[in-house]
Amino acid sequence: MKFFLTSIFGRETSRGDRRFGLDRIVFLLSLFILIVTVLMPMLMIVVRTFFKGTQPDWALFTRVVLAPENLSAIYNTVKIGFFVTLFGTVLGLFYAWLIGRSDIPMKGLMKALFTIPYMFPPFFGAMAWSLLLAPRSGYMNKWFMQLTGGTSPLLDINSIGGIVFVETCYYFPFVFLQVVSALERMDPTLEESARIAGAGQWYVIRKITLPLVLPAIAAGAMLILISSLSHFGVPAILGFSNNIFTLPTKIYQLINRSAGSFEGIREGAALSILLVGVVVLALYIQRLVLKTGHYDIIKGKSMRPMLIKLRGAKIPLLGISLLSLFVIVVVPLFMIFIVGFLKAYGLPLTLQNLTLRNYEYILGQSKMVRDSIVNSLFLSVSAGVITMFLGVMIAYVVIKVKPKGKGFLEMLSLLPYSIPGLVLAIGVILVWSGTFGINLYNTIWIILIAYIARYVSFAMKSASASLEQVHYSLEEAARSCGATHLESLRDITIPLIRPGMIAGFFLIFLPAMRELTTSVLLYGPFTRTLGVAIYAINSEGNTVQASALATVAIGIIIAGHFALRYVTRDRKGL
Amino acid sequence: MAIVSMRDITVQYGKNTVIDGLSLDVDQGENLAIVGPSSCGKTTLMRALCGFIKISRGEILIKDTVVSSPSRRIMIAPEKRNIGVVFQDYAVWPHLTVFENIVYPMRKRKVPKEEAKERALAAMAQVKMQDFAERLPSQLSGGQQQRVALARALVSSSELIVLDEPITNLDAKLREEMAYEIRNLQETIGVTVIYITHDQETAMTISDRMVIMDRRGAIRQLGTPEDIWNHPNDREVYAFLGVSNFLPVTNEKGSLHLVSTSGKRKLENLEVDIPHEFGSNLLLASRPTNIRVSPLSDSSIGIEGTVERVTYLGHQFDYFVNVGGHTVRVQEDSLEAFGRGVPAEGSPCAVEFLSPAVYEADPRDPVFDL
Repeated sequence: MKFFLTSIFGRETSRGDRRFGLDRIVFLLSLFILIVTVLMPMLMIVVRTFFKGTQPDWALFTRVVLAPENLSAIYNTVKIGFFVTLFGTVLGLFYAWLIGRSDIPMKGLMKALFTIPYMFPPFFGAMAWSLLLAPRSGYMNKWFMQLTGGTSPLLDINSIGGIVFVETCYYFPFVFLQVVSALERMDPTLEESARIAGAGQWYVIRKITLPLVLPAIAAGAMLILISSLSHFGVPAILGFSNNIFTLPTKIYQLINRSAGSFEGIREGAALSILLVGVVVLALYIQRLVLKTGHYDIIKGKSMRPMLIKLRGAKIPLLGISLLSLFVIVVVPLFMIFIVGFLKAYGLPLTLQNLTLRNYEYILGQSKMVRDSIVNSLFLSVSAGVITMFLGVMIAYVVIKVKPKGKGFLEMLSLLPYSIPGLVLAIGVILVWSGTFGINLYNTIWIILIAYIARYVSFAMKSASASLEQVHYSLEEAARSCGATHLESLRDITIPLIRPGMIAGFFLIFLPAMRELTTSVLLYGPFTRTLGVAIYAINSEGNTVQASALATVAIGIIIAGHFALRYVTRDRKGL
Repeated sequence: MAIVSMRDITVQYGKNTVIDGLSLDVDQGENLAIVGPSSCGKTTLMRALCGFIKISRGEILIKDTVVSSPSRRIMIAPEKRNIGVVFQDYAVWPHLTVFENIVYPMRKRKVPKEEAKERALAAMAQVKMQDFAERLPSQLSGGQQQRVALARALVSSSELIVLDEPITNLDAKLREEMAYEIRNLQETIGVTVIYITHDQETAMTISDRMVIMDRRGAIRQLGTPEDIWNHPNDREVYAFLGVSNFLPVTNEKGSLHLVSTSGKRKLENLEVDIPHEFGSNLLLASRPTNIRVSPLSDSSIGIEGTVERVTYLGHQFDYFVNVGGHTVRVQEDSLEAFGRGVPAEGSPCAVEFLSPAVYEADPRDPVFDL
């Protein structure tokens, strides 16, 4: 401990040594913020679960874990996670190979379509598919029943299968994007030499291409698995009505039902530990898988690979991919869009049933909705700015200053990456509801703190990437030209990472704008966010208004993406 | 007068000592080259001088002002040391134009705008970059970026400029041009230049004095290029300066005998001074160009050997000659070789060592047990 303290506070007090002064302040400040926003919530969850007051209490944890309803929630969570990962990986791989290695036409269009699920929260998809495939009221089921004259629906989206389907649609791009980029960076001569040696097309795919991109597949699959395990929105919208619970939705239900009572939060905390345990186990398995195959043959350089001619299969494959993309991407968006204009949910989709009344209501009359838009804008912009600067500070300490204890700082900043949003929310409640003398519960600040903790990993990664481009000699050159340490940062380092900082801001702003999982536990009567408002209106059964508001959210997100495109379009001089 | 004085400085990275007790004075207005193999601490020395790293012992003075002294708790910030630096990777700021890059040091030192502009233009003219003032570094070649960095260093300090391996990344022709340019600038402006490189040839063409450093971060020899080339202090310096042959010889009452597979053979007609404190086991050092190979005849001078390989390199011939079991590398100017007759591979010859040097050998060297 003594060593740790001297390493942090140091003994660098010599005259004229300002560099250490400024850098040390940045280090200590970012360490402090991370301890408060990330470490303390996590610790509080553990403390509250295993201690009642100051007495150790193991009974709660065992009771919560062994409750049959919670056991079934664990089972559902793992089952959904497994199938989403399996289908998402297969789907992602198929498209990645088609776009990265075959001569299929319209690649640009398909690539653009693939990024769309990335932009929207999966719970929009759940809403949209529920509009189509809810057992009795879904449009598609109704058409089917009219057609067959029966009373049994075509498909029931309110089922485990439905949840798996919707989550797969939204998470497969993780594998797709990872594998496409690995394929693009892979040296094509590796495949070509196998062909020259006499291997057939299919053999090359199995024995050369697939093993080489295995690390990328594993990384993408793990992202899907972690996202699915900690996902709240889709099972909440599709599962509640049929009593299908996953760990996140169970935690939500516990906390919600207990209406903020201490015992309820403790039970939620105990379940959170379980959820984190499942995620950590998944990460551990990923370690094991990735250890078995590590290849450096994938280079950073982009090369033009030999494309595989699909010949006769070209048109059918193109048809299949366009159709599936249409179903996955376009249909849900269209449904949300069109239902937002309907007079009432369930009316046939004809011109005389359309109206602007929903928009009038949500944008004009409903104070709650207007508040939620303002809240979300405020939260996303301030979380974006604060977290982006925090990320720059952490990345600067980790990459440039390299003090003792930088590993700890880096670990803290990357920790939220693997903590489910719901768990983080519980931790934040435990810390900021008066335990340490400050009560922010039901205020907008508690949501802001949670957002900062939730997005600091993104900010730190994006800032690291741009800071690593700035070689230390650029700063030293400024010093030798007469600039002080602060001036060299202001004149050289900051301008050079500015494009990265702006991109980093949007990487936080966009997901924060549609955030549901964290805010659903933290919102108070006047601090609903856009995501919470849509979710609440939808669960009250006002489907048409929820759809209209979702359309507004989609509009804001699309505008944000265009802004991001615009700022990252070209990087002057880099 | 010394513009830079380093007194007994030691630099450590953790437990790893990079420079151990080094002392060096740099004279006002001279062009000093610091030469040494890669990772010998040259760059560390430069960074300590500029104030980017701390020294753990000793002190550094610039113009009689102490800038680094751990014992007196002095560490003057880099921006107050007034040194122009050209970094190994140029460190030209990519978001600023050529002009903005060059004018930056003067902006930081509060030079009036008009004067700053004039001096920047003058510096650009000196390095022949005046036509590129509004370009961004990404639009320049490596050599041009190099010149921008040099101009920036020139306006940054009119007294002391440090160049860290500045021209190693250029092609041969540009390298020669830049070396000449640096020499020229130094002569016209009178600035003191410290030039760090691992390339001893460029160092020789550029510098007034040379410092040879070794892998342990210590100075091996300090002197003018001629001095060092003609009288290398020891075997390592000799080997570092260029391709060299070392033959094991024994000193027997003032005459040298080659230790060979066929016993000891006396070397005749050698003009070499053997310091009297040397022991009996010595190494005879010679450059490939200072060895003459002649056809073997009764009148030929030198020791007998066999030409093993002959390679024609255009301007010269390269021979590998076996002398008593040792392979000796010999180079001969093409014109001379054609005049005297190129030896055939496998033919016997007489080998004559012109102006060789002797160094004491490691007494345990197994080569003497032949």
